[in-house]
Amino acid sequence: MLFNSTEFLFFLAIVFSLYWTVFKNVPRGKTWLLLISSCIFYMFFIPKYILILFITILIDYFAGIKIAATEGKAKKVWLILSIVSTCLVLFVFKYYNFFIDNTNAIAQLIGWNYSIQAMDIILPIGLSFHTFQSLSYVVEVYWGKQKPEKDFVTYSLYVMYFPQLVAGPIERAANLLYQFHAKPLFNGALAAEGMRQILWGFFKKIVIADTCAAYANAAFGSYETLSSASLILGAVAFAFQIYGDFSGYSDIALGTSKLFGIQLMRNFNLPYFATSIPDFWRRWHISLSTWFRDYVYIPLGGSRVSGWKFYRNVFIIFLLSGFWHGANWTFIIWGLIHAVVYCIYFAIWGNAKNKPADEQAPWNAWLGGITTFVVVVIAWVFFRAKTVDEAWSYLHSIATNPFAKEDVLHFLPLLLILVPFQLAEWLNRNSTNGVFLSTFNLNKSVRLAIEMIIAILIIDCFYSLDHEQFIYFQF
Amino acid sequence: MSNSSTSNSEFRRFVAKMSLRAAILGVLCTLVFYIPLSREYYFSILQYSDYSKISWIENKLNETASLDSTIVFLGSSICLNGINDSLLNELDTTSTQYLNLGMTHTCFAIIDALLEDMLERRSLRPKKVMLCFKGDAMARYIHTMYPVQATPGHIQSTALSFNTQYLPSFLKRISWNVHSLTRYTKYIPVESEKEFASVYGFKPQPYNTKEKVEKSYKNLKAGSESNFKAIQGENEGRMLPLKSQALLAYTDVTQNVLFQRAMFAKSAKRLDDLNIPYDIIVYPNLVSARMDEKEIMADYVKRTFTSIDYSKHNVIAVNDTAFTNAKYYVDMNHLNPDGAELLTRYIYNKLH
Repeated sequence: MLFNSTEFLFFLAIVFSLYWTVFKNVPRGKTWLLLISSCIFYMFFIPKYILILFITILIDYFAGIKIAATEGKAKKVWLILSIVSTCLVLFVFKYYNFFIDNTNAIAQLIGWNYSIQAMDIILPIGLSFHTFQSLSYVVEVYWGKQKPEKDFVTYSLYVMYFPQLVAGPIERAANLLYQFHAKPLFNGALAAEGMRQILWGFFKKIVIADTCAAYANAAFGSYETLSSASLILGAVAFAFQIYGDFSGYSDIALGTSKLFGIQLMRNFNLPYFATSIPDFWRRWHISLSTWFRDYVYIPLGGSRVSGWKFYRNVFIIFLLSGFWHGANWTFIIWGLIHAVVYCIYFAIWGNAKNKPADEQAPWNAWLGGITTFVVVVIAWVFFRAKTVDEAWSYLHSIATNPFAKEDVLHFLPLLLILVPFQLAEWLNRNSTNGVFLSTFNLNKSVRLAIEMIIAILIIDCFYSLDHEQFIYFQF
Repeated sequence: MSNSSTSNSEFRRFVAKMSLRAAILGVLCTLVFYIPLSREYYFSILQYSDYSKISWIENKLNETASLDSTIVFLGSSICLNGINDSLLNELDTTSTQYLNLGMTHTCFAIIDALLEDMLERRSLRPKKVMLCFKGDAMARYIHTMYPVQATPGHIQSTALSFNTQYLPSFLKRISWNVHSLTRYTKYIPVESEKEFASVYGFKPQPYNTKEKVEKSYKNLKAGSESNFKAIQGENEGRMLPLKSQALLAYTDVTQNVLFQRAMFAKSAKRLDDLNIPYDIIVYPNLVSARMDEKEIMADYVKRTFTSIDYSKHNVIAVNDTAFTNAKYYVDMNHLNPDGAELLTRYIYNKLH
């Protein structure tokens, strides 16, 4: 089920009503209700794929109990078994064809008459997200930081909780499980905040991302002929498309969850106001970057190691991050660009420049902000392109295509939407929860008027623009 | 007061607060829905789209002072690609004129909105109207551009005609009204090659190979034939199994078939009320043409629309065996220019 569909609105209204009326005094019933709703939500895509999810849940559930109950070698064996089996599903569905294609290409290159048939399979939606969530659970249990969840229904809900099932945030067991065990009472202020966050999420997805998608599709569709300025604007459009799309999804997820009294972690914090690449990664897809930090980077030694090992760790993290996004060289190069710039920052400034914008000299913050944005946009070109060649051609066209006033005029209106959007986000920069208008001391009527305008704009763009599926659903 | 009762009262307050907001949004939406914008604006949206013919029709009617001696063809793409009005005007040496107002996609609601505009707002009275009926099935859902073409009054009236897609239609109209302001921020390419620019309303389809047409026929044959068989069974008064009846009733509602029927009947009544002659053409398709029983859909029309007086209005089921030949088609439903010529001559002979 897509968040930006009428089915979802009806679905949410029904689940919300049942949760706080029929099951209001039945905590066990609430857990069951959320789990069944999550199954229905997931089965709107490809129903049979729920079996894959079920198998992963089953393995990690038992592995968690066994890891906690054993010591020494046996403990490690259970952990490895769990990680391998969970990752195997991911490998088969997501990386098998990529691996085969590249093996075949290498074989052809060295003259071997060797070909393995690729599989004709559709990637289960959100597979990378719930795989990482399951992995974090077993690792935390292994480290002794998390008690194993004995209740199968609650553990299943931890993996399948529908607001964050298909595109995160990638939650930690420590943050989510205790909330499922608690007996939440209805909190009107939290629910109202949730509704505002859902509204803002829809605005980001339907108004910002889908409007930007039209510009980005036009630019990437005819980069050979468009002028350089239009192509730059097209790449900027994609930067905001993916931001509106993914952070909009996260806002809807967080807001939806608040309606059930459950708080998810914040996933975005004004990434395009970052003053450096390290700063960008503290603001963009926070649940994924902290996942890599906690489960890969720190175990590898993090920044405490000296010399080349630090740079090696950075490269490993970004390569994995790129590969996590998809089985394509474009994502790997996207990760590499971030890794290279990240390392350059550290090589030149160490941690000195890696400070919040408020603590830096204004010119420094501005310069850093602009440079970071340029790097991020260039990297997005690889992320958006279908092939590495296409990305290079796009960048080459930016450098070589002449300026043409006529087609730039078609792309300039993009700024009419992006400038007010970024201004609104900047004014809300001190918000701790990321909910739009939360830091403004506005009169109730003014707040209501703004909310109504946002709702009308959502209706406008929902029907007058082509709908783009959430980009991160494919990961 | 216990935590539980505080929670209960908070929930009630929250629901009341959200209901109030929903009501305010509803009022606001209704106001936006009725904003009177110019017809030029709405039809300019369609000018360079796949629905360009709708803008062409608007412009054509703007230039037309009278339709008193014109036979007008209304319908979907099978009419748009199947009736060559240029040829009809050539064949007929009398003062009678012919005009093809067919447009892409089968939807009786958009046809009725067009009729309303033509007959009531413009007070045009065609000499005769030829209504279109698809050769293989009833119209379903609703035309995506219906909320652009129809007036707010027409859209509102569909709420009482079983339109299960009333809410999306209502919201789409709001969307297009707001779009009049927000379009300056959107990327709207001018695809001038999509503009329908012709003196006549006929849009010839590009030729397709016979093999590809036969392939399309083979792919769709089984489904279409079973559909025809079910309709035939119903025509003959045979009771369908309960499960099939339940499924039909379900799709009639969810796929808006009941509404489409209501719209066709409404158009027929609209014409009857003004004493405008009309006939119904059941267009050929490759499956229906190759089946033995040629009158299945004609019988279906007669059985379904009982308010029509069939002694005054003909149901023309095209049963020329030539239409069994794939060389006249571009796919299972649509005719190529040769097929269109064949059909046009067939209809001309029926009219005279």
